[in-house]
Amino acid sequence: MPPKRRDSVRQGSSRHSVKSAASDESFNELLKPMYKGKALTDEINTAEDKWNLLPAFLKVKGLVKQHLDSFNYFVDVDLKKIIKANEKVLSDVDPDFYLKYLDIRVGYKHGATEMDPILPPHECRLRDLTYSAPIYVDVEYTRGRKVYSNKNLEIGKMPIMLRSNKCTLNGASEGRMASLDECPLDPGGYFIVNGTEKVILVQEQLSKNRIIVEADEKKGIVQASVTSSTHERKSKTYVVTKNDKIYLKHNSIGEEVPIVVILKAAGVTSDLEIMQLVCGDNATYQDLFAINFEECAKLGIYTQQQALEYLGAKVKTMRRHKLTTLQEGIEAVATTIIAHLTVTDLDFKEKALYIAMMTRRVIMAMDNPKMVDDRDYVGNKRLELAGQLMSLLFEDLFKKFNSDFKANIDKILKKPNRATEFNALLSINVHSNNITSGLNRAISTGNWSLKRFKMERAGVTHVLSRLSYVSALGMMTRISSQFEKSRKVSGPRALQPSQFGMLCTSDTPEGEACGLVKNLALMTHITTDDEEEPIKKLCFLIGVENISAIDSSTLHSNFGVYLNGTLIGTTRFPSKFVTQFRKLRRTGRISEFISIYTNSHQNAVHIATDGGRICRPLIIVENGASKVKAHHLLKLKQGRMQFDDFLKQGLVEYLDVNEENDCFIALYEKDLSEQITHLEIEPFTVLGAVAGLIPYPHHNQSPRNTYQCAMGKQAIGAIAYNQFKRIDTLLYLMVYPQQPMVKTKTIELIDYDKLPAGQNATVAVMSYSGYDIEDALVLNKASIDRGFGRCQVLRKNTTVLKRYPNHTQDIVGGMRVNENNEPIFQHASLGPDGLGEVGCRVESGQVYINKSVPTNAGESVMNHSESTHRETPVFYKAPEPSYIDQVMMSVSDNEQALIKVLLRQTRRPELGDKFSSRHGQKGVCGIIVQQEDLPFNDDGISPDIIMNPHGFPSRMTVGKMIELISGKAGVLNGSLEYGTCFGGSKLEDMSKILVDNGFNYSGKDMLYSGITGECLQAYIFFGPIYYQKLKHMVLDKMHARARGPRAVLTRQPTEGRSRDGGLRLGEMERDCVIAYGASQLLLERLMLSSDAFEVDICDKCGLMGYNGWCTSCKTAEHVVKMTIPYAAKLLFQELLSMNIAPRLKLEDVF
Amino acid sequence: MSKLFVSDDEDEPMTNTGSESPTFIPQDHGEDEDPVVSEIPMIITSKPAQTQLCALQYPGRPSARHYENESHVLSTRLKPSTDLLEADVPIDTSKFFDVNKSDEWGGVNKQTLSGVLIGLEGYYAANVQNGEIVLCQLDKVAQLRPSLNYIDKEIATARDLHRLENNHSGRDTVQVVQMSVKSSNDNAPRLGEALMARKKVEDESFTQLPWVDSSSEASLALKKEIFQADNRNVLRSNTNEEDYIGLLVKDISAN
Repeated sequence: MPPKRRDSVRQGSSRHSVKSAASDESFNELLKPMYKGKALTDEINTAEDKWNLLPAFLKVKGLVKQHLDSFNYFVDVDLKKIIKANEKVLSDVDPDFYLKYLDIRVGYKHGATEMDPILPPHECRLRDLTYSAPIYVDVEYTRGRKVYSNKNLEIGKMPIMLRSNKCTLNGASEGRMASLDECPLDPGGYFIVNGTEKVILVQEQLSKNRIIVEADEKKGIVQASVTSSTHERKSKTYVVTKNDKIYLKHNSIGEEVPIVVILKAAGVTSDLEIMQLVCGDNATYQDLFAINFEECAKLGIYTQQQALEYLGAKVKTMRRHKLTTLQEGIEAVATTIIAHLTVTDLDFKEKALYIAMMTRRVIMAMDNPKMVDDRDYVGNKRLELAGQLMSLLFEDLFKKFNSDFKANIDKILKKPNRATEFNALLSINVHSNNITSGLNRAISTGNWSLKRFKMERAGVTHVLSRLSYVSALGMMTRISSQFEKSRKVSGPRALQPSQFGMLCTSDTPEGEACGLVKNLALMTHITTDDEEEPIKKLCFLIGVENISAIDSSTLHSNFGVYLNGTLIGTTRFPSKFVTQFRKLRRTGRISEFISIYTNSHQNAVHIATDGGRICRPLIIVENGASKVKAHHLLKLKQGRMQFDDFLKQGLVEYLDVNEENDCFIALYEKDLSEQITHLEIEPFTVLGAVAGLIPYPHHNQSPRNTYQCAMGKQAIGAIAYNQFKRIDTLLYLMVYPQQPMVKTKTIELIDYDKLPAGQNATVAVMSYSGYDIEDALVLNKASIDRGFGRCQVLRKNTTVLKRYPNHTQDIVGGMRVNENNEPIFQHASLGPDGLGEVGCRVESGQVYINKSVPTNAGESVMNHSESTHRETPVFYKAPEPSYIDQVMMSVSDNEQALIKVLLRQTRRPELGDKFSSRHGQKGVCGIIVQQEDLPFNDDGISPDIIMNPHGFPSRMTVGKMIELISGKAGVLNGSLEYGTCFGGSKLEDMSKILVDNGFNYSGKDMLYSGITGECLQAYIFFGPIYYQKLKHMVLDKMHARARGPRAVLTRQPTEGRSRDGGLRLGEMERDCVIAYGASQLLLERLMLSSDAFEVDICDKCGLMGYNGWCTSCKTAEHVVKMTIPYAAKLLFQELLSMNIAPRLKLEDVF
Repeated sequence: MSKLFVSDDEDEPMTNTGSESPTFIPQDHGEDEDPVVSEIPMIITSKPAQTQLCALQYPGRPSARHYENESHVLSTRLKPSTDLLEADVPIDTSKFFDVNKSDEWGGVNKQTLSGVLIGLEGYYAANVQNGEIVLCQLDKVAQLRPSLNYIDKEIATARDLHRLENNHSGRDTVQVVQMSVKSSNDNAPRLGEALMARKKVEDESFTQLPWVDSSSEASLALKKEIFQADNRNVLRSNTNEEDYIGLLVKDISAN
């Protein structure tokens, strides 16, 4: 019997088409059973079909939506903000001059409805160009007395993220994509800079502008810290305890300032009010805090002015113009401390409250050590995306651009008598390359250096891994952490309960980066910044009391309302306020990404509008019933409703980690009850895109899933639809990839079935031949002949034909022939143009680009020596020959000819090639056996792979066994089965199919030995398992050397395969030889076969001489010859060079 | 959505300001633990033209102890453009009063409260009369705190004295002062916004405001005038709930 679900889908879709034409009454009929809560109809089952929301979500959001959203926000909103913040360029010389930026656009001109045509991305890849669009600004400036305006001034070029709204591929149809040589399944979200695809990885950071309270119980320190980040600067303010007294600490304030002094400086002069602000009427807190008043009284500070002067004297600043201590004090309170709150008038109340709140949090943590924050809690983290990083960089470059421009105009305006009226535009274009090259350099090197934050960050960008489709996809969802990899703390690496559904629980690398590099789960969204001000206004409208008018004594008796960490008011009815706010959000009145939650420990309602929060959609539950009903899902299936409609109608909402903690979320519809507020859309979305490939992962031991996540990215498969048009440095392709027999929902959602990386192999779990120990696999030779595991390796070689200043240039010569008019061996694969012919075989030592460089390239143009060329051909050097796949000749952006030759090798599996199933079970090929010798079953089927059963007990990969059974059932049934996490085809159903087809329920078959023809003693677990071929192949690794190159300095053999290096006898091997006592072997290995060197040593002075002469003793009398390692000789000489004389005392050995 | 805020919100298009508004009771969302006890009519009045209504808050002063009668405010001063308000109140010298300290500080006999007036929307002065609540919108609110500027003054005088002394005992050498002409605009220190604000305050001088005690006749008369509810027309809202919510969030417009 086929599984019910599949059947239902088929029925459903056919009946829907009929239903949609039917009248409303028949529609109602369909709905009725739902409202009565009776048995569900076959067509729509909310419990199971609600997963359809997931493809709907991915249709809108895609897998890399976070990158695209962030970039779109940057080019559409953030750029304009940056322009606004750096609006005017003024001159120091001419006070009347100004230049004002009015608008900025990327890619399209003023008034234009369409984007400027830009080079298609694939051409940029091939021609080593940058995929970018011009940045236009509109300016207004003075020229003499008149004001001119200029539109569409190009100030540089902005690298464009693929598939963003500025990209040519945005909204393109599949046909259009094909005509642009672009793969419709490619997710985009990366940049093309100088022809390489670069990804800006998502960076994880501690959230900014929020208070984090930490305690060190050993030292008895409690500290509240806040990292303030504005466009201008970044600084950190601490409120710390020291001997139970509380101080404020800031980098630009020389010493710690007693907290009461700071509060007085911020205008709260009355001790009573300070007490009210910090402690409220909590007697314990008051007792803890009281000591701080003494500190202030001892200093004799009573008034705000005194406090400001005290503070001003402590500030260390670098100012060109000195301020008085009082002014310094004001400046410190207004702008330096807690810099993200800037005070523009004399009312420091907001700031005083913020400091008081920090102090209160410290007091709370002193009273109850549990009231500290967790740095590793996902709700306290923010993700920094491409857009934010680009915006930081752009603002820096734009400021530089403006200051250069200002310097330029000042220089001109300073000239006393100018002939013509000054035109500012003439000097603005001069250095316009700065922005373009600045952006390009940062993305291509990954070095983000920002002057204004004094920030140097390396390794921000990475080359997009195109090993396989999933590896590219996995890279786009990767999150890297700011923590140092070397630090030995377990906290940041540990699995956080709060990452449920937000970050993949399985996908993290092993080794040093374990737990620090994470991956997004399938249904996550990362927010972009939302405007704060309207939200603040709205809060006041729906009953929040403004903080400016609140009496200090009643502050803590109500719930505080915090907007992005800043106290804006209080509310008496927090739950009512939160409910109203959520209602507004659910009706689409305010952005769905604004989160609100109550924190009862802090008596606070927190609202967050900032960007970088991770959130995910959940179904809203009211009164114990899911808001998503059958008819909604029906409409979704019919395409009459989109995911956004679900949001707008308040059926589904986004929750961030903090708000999730304020909710009760049911996993399944059966768990619904009165208290439940939300329902999970699909539980398998806890996993990310890469972990989603694993069938039945919930039956595996957890580390196995993690191993598979690492290996899935190394699997060779189809890369993209345009894979044959690509010319990449290194490309692995599988010749006959197959989609897995046992799929998962994730596989379908991410289109892995369209670009698979692996093949369904018939596996027999048994021992065979002894060449299968340590996870080695036995491969069927006939299978290999039929194309199992066959792959192609494409390697690119680039040559540039340079032009030299003396008008000479590199040329490509033709081929040379022998006396029979046949090309010589080296030139056998060349065509008449001196380039390898497509399809030709190139062997080691043959030439495929016959390039020559001029011999007189360094000379000047003046002496007309006849230009002769010296051959500098590009040789092919590899153990196996290749075929020339493509030759491309083009012109790069500096007008030099660019030649790319793509070489192809087709490889069949051989001994030592690495394979793995999807369950973290890797193994190398141990032996390739003739099909005749392999066992076969009743149907005459022999396995493609024999796997040793010892692989199972310790690995506990039960999922792999179930995959085999489901796969086998699928083969017999003619269907593709599902192994979706927490679901999938049921083992029971699968066994039923097996039994119905005359097989054993457990997947075991009776096999016959191929050698003897006898029936095997045991039943063999036998069926299809999806196997991946990993990129590690013997051909790329095999290496041996007898004699070969040596390093110049030490005269020891070189290191590494690429340099034809020696095989090192390492320390541990040396230890073995010593322990064995084989001294002569040791001597041979470490000296004679390495860097033996004959030196002349003077027995008298012990120093080295040469040519039988001792230079220090001026005699040849005592000089003897001996052999020492060249490294030892080098050491002696280096010691001599630093005034240490090593003297050798020689004795006779025998 | 609750209709709680319909009556007293300025986003509400009002056909007739001073008219009586119908009473709105928060509609409970099926929560029965908050039953309607009684209904009170609310009346919004408009204050007389050219009158500014400001609320003065005294944080740190118990709400039961008003500044009136014998402890009434002596004088008030205002810097009109920067909205800095100062008020002098008498000190009760009979209790907890250190005469020595007072002499040290040059005979303190009054306390100066100061604060900045802030414009706040949606705040009302209210009076319950005849079973009705009468509301009148406030223009500004200020929190007045004791400013203790006699201490600052004393420190300043001490500092001046110190400087004078130093000058007298200092060296009698003639100092050569070199004059240099600087261009006026380029090297002037650019002050931060907070410093600019302070400079503005310091540059401005106080204007005295007469203080009328709350118990006085004039004050009572004004109070009566403000809270006089003569227009009892029922205010009909011509916005429906949907539109009202739209108005609330009009500058957010999520979608």
